[in-house]
Parts: sequence; C-alpha cells; structure tokens
Amino acid sequence: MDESTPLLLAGALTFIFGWNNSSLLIGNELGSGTLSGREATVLASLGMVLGAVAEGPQMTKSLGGMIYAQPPETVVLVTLVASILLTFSLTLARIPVTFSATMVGAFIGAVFALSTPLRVSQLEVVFSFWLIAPLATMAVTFLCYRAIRRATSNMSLLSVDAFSRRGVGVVSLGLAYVLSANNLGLIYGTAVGAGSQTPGAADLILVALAAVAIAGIALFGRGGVAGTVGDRLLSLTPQGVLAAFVGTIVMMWVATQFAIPISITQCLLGGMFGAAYTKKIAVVNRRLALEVVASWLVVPAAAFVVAVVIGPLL
Amino acid sequence: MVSLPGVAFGNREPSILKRIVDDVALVRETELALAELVSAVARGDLPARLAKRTAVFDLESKAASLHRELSTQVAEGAFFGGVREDILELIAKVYSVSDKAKDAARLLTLTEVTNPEAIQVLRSDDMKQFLANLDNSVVALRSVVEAFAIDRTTVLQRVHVVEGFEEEADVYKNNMLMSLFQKDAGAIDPVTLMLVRDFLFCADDVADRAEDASDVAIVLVAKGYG
Repeated sequence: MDESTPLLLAGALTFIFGWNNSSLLIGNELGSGTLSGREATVLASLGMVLGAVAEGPQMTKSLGGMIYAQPPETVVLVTLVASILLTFSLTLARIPVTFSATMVGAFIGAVFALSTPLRVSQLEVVFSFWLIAPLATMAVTFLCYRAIRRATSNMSLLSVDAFSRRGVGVVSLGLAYVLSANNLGLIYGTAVGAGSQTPGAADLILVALAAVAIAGIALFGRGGVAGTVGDRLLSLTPQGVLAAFVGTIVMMWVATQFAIPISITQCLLGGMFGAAYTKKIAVVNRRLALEVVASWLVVPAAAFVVAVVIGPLL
Repeated sequence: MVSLPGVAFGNREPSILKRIVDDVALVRETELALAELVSAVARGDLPARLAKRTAVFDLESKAASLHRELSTQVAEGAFFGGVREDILELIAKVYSVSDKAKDAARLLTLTEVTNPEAIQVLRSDDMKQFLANLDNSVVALRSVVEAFAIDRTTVLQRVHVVEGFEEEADVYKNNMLMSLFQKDAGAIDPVTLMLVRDFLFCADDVADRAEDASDVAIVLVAKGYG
C-alpha cells in the first residue's frame, strides 16, 4: 500500500465530514439570524484549524488503543474505505451520520475480519461514554441554561440579543474546535497512527485536513445534514441553543482528553433536550428523536458489516 | 473588530432600534397631520383640508418607504437572532398605524362635511380628547420601543400605558358615536352620518394598531429572554 493512500482516504472522509456537518457549524447560526454566512464560516474555519492542531493529536491512540498492537495497514484501509462508503451514501441520502460511531464500527469490523485480538475493556469504556454522554450533556445544558436565564433576566432586550449573538459566536468557535479535535483527530489518528510523524509534519497534515473539512463546510453551507435534525427536532430560543452548544462542547472536550471518539449529535441531542426541559412545556418531535437514537445503533452496526464484507477484498 | 469584507462581529441592533424609533416618529407625524385635517374640516377651511390631506398621504408614503427599507434590512441582515420575525411584525404593525391614519384621512375628505351636527361632533371636546389619545398611544408606543434598550419590566409597563390610551380613545369614540346617533332623526343626512361614523372607527384603528404593535413587544420580551 502506498504511504499516501491512507492520507488521501482521510482527506476524502474529512471532506464528507465537513459536508455532513456544514449545517451544524454554519446553518444554525445563519438560520437563527445571529451570524452572517461569512462570520459563521470564518468562526467555523478558525475553530476547525485550532482544534485540529491543538488537540487533534490526542486522538491518535483512540482506535489504536482498542487493539493490542499498532493497527495493521489493512485495518486502517478497511476502516477508512468502509467509513467513506457509509458516510458518503448516508450524506447523499441526507441522513445525519455519527462519524465517530461509524469509524468505531468500521474499525471493529476490520479487526474482526482480520481476526485481530480486541481490547474489550477499552471498547467498554467507549460504549459506556456513549451512553453517559447525552445524559451528562443534558445535565450541563440544563444548568447552563438556567444560569444564562438568570444572568440575562435584568438586561435590556438589546443587551440580551448582543449577549446571545456574541455567545453564539463564541460557542460556534468552540463547537468547531471540539468537533475538529475529536472527529478530525480521529480521522487523522486512524490514517496516520501514533508516533509515526514528526510534530511539524503532523501539524501540517492536520491543517491540511482541516482545510479540506472547511472546503466541505463552505461548499455545502446550509445544505449539510446534521443541523437539519436539530431544526426539526424541537424549537429552542437562542439562549437554549447557546446552552445546548456549551453542554456539547464541554462533553466533547472531556471525551477528547480521554481519546474517546464521540459524535456531536450524541451530545447535542442530549443538550437540546436539557434546554427544552428547562421549561415545563417542550414541543418535541419524538419520532425524529427515536430515529436519531436508533441511527446511533444502526449506523455503527452497518459500518461493522461493510468492513467485514470489504475486509477480505482489500 | 474583524475587518474582512462582510464580516463585522460588532453589535448592529442599536442602529436598527434607532431606525424603528424614527419610524414611529414618522408615523406620529402622519397621525398629527390627521388631527390637523380634522380641525381643517371642522373649520370648513377647504384649502387647509386639501393641504392636510396631501400631508397625511405624503407622510404615509414616506412611512411605507421606510417600512420597506427597514424590513429588507432586518430580513437580509444577521440581527435579532430568534426574534427576527417578531421584529418584522413590529415594524409592520408600526407602519399600519400610518396606513390607518391615511385611510381615516381619505374617508374624511371623500366629500365636504357641511352638516352643522356633524361639524359639531368634529369640533367637540370628545373629538379633541379622542385625537389626543390617539397621539398619546403613538407616543407611548415610541417609548415602548425605546424601552428595548432599558429592561423588560419597563417594556411591559409601557405596553400597559399604550393599552390605557387606546381604551381612553375608545371611550371618547363611543361618546361621539352616541352624540351622532342620539340626534333627532333626520338631523344628519345618512351619507354624512355614515361618513363620520366610519371615520371614527377608522381613526380609532390608529390607537388599535399602536396597541397591536405594543403587543408584539410582549412577544419579544417572552421570546427574547429565552
């Protein structure tokens, strides 16, 4: 296998990642009228680059930590190809993709196909975090929302609006940062592996991957997929969105510190419910919520199957 | 501040708010011109009647133009996240005050009012109080919009002030209607009776629309504070 092949595949996967998440990173700010398209793009781009370079390398041992040795090249290749196939087709079908779960499913499938021994304990940590993350995000969001409402209660309407605008700007930057650190770091870590690059080269690759993701974001803007789930799931005020994003940022950052791959939708869904239930009355699209939760199980399972099928072919 | 083209992370809402306040001021000018028109009609001053009618129409036209500009600016810009539709609603309601003043002016100038009983109604203290309350409701609406830069308690308090003036205008309108219909049968010809009655209803809509606009402020407070 050519040395550049995993990087090219990582680039392709990163582009799809940017495409799928463009709504989330730009569309919400545009749709809510809090930021202009250029402002949202500038903040998302800045966050992507900073997150990738500053904390992306922490994810290099994420999938590699699930097996006893350095992942064989075939496992890397199968993981990336299976992830690309699945995420590309789901994105085309306008279905939100849980990138980290897809990659984990594909990685386990690749490992299974090649009969490589798996560290079950590490896998258990990842799955446990996936279960806890939405609930923890919900709790953080709930507290954050209450704090925001208390802090803004005596402000003028203009000040509240300015607070929301600036807050959305900051959390947009933060969201792009943690998303890049965790998910882009995961793609980078899977393609490149731990310790095989000099720090300078690693930064260069991470910046290049962030640039590819930004291209995906900028090209598709509001046409992405992930944000549309949030739009249709429930109705939130700018302060509610702000609190949900803060909760998501906190949880994704914690996951990144432990090199645990986590999907933004897993956290954000919990955050949105946390914000919605701060008020006694919340209008929630329960069917859509169930569909999203079901996708967290179905998509990694599908990635596992695809990896098992294509494993022997590569 | 970032100086990239199209990128400015500054706070743009105060300038929009100032334009809405200016919009209300223009609407008030329209409503004041209507009051002067009533006075001209009551005096039987034909040239003044025509001049004031034109003034009302011109001011309404200016208000319509400002409404369009302001709506476009809000619709196209990144302002008032989460409450932008309500701000657009507020701007529309503010403009509708001016629109109603124009409708009332049109009604009052459809034909020359010469009937002494009708003139008496137009000259009455009730009419003066009615017009004063229409003006007060628009002035109070302006203070509601200005309160967006103060706090929500002030906004809500000022909304109640608008309601108060609207209700007071209703009282004087009813007094005048009763005066119109309590006259001896045949004292006022039916056409003049209908004209004055419709004028009163239409002019009263000025205060009603001001109240509607202030009701949007309640929605803004409810949504704006999350």
